[in-house]
Amino acid sequence: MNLTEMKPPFIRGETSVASMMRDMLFALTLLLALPVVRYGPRPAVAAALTVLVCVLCELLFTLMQTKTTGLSDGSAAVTGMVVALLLPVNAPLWLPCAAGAFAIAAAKAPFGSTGRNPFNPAAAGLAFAAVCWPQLVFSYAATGSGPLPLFGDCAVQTAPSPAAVLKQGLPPNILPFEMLWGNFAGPAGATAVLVVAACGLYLFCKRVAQWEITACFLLVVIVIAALFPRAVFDPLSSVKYELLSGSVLFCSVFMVTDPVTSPHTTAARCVYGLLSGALVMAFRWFGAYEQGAVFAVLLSNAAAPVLDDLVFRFRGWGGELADA
Amino acid sequence: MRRGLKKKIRIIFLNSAFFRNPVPVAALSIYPVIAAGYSLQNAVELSLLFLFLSVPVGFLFCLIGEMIPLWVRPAAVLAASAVFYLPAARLLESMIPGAVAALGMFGPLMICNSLILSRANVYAPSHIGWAVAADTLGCAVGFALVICLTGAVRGLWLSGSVRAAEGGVSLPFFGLIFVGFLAAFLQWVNRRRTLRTGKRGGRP
Amino acid sequence: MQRGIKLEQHKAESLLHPVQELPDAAGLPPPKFFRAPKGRPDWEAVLRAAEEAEITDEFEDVPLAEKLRRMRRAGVSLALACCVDEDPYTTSAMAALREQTDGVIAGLALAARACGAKKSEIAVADRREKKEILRRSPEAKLVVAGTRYPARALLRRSLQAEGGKAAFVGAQACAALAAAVSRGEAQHDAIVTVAGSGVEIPRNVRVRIGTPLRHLLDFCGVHERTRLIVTGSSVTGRAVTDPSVPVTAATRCVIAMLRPPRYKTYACIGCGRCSRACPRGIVPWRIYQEMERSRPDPLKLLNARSCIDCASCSMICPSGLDLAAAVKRAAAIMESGDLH
Repeated sequence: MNLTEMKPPFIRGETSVASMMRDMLFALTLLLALPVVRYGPRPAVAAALTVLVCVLCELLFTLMQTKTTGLSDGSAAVTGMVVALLLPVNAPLWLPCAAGAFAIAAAKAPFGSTGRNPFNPAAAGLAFAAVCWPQLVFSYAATGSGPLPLFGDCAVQTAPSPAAVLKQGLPPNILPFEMLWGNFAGPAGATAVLVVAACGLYLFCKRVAQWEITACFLLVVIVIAALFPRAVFDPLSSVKYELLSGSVLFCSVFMVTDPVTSPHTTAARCVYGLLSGALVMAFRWFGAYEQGAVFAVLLSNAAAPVLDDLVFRFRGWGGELADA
Repeated sequence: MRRGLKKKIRIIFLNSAFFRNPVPVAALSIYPVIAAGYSLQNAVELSLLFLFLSVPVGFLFCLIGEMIPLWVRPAAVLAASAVFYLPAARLLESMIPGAVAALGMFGPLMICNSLILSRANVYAPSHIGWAVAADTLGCAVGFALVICLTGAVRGLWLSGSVRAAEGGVSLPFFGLIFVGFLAAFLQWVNRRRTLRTGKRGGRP
Repeated sequence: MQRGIKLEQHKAESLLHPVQELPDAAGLPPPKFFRAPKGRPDWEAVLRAAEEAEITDEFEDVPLAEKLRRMRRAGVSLALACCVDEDPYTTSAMAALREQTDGVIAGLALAARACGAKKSEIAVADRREKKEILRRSPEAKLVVAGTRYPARALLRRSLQAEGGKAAFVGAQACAALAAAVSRGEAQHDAIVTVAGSGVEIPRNVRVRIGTPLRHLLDFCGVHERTRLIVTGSSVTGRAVTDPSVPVTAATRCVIAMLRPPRYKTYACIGCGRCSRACPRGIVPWRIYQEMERSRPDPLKLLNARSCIDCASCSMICPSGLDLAAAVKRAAAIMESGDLH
């Protein structure tokens, strides 16, 4: 018998980083279904290209940094999918690729890849795209544009998204049913609200995403939307339109719950959710672009370690159940 | 000049200009690089202005710096910098007509350039003339390298065949990320050097 | 909030069959006997009997007499017979309780007398086990420990929350104590579970203490291509590389794996599962972060010393980090008083 030496423990729990990333990838792929049905295979092609670019960037940087190829976790693929899903369907194909390349090359790899990045790479990539090419990032195809060409530029009629309409202070003119199923102008994956909510529930049940952050985030958004409507309508409509427009729900499920960039203690997570919700509404009111969620996420990421340290300072460095 | 002194001067110059270039390594004088360094034209003008400003200030404080009490030295450096700005700007204007006007607010902002001020405050008063000269020229060369590189890259992106990123790349955030990558590159170079001298077992 | 972690159990197969007797290996000395105490022994007589019978507590691997003396000094008020196997493959304590129910009950009463505990109960894993034992012995006093790992620590915490001190005595040690006091028999055998992917039929085997491991492996038909053999527990046990080591009372299980498990290590992703799982309220990810520095700050490692080495944190970590080792190192720093 050829017996090996090994240190305990000899069994492990089933969750690993790779399995968590696979769950997220599954949820994100589900979000591609409705855009593909409406606009043809172009959204899937864009997503595939972005994922390819992100994975290649990660490979390149891992080679440079550690001289080995380490592609064991799927976080680069998840970043690529999130970036592709938050850009318009009719965006030229190099746009999500550029955003994805920036996300990995400037916001993730220089800090040490998975687990060490202080900022959400997808949010950073989107912020870069929004600042450099604002017309391309915020011009969405009108509904009913039919199947878009696979490669090459799309010359389709664009329509203002509900977020843009709200920013001008007018109530958006969309049926609630259309809003639920995402049949309006908006980012590729963030419009189908029901699917986003279902993916969110799936991720919470599998404990891949933290529900406390999403709950606090949405709570603050709802409260501020009810108290300060941006157009002339009643609080309930204001809440409805604020939640269903832009990328707020998508960010609340996929971006703000990223375990690496959010605080690691429960109390700090709740405060972080409140903070990022308040920042999102602030950006919506006073920001330069119609959607400010990614900038709010980046700012909250900067505050996350501070929140953790504050919790430890209050609670003592041990934890609540320190007894004999 | 003694040979040992020559070698030391060479080392001081190389350190300020390349290996310990204060812009990426110590984040001194970052603002002109990231805010104004978005075109090569700007970059060249600012480097010349830096050179014309830092040399007289450094020279002056090498001579009289020790005599000024510590608590009043920062104010004295700032005042001297402001006074020397006028001839420096005049010299730049005569070399490149219209430069000072094109620079807008970044020209006069050179007066409070943190690199010039910190070198004049701390380094110049306590070192001999040759060392101060080498350090000042080295800093000027280093600053010029960094800002011209940044300006060239961002200018190329803005105007070249890569689809223009209009406002984005000229914003400070891109400059900061670029300087960050330069800093990483410098760290890599320095680490290679330490490894190499470690292997050789000799002096660098 | 529930502490501890849920492990996938593999216990049902080994409990299907009754405990098998392993034929004695060649060269083993015959079981020893001594003079049993007369009548109803007082606590000193029980301790003497435990010493003469050389009984070892199988969960802590210390002589039972020493453990009972320690319990007496600590003023334990509740003695628990540990018939819970935390390890997902092991069922030796459960099998011992099932087959020697009266012996365990009698031994537990003797142990309670010896350590001065006023109450004594038998800890079993779940309600089904409790029903099973009550069927065999209706007067037994049982308490359910739960199936979350580490069950014993969690049970002790919930019992001590009501006041008083509780301590565990191994089931096989209790049975051996009863045999020593009634018949003057020294502890000469132990029940060992043989399980894992390298074994065709997992089962419990009664083995003479001192038998070479090889003898047991051959008897159970352990596959030749087994790459890893673990004794003690699949979480906190030891990997065996030399099959000629003898079986002791504390072996409790032999787990043979065809393929040694290989886990990929990533950086900490900050999910917080480790601090939720720790039964002692330690925050392992923070301690790991601190220990990764070249000069860890002892003020930030405050309760590392309360670690009970259950390794729940290492098991639940999705990044495969060795958190238990980091916490142990931190505890060593705190112990040494080297607070520079």
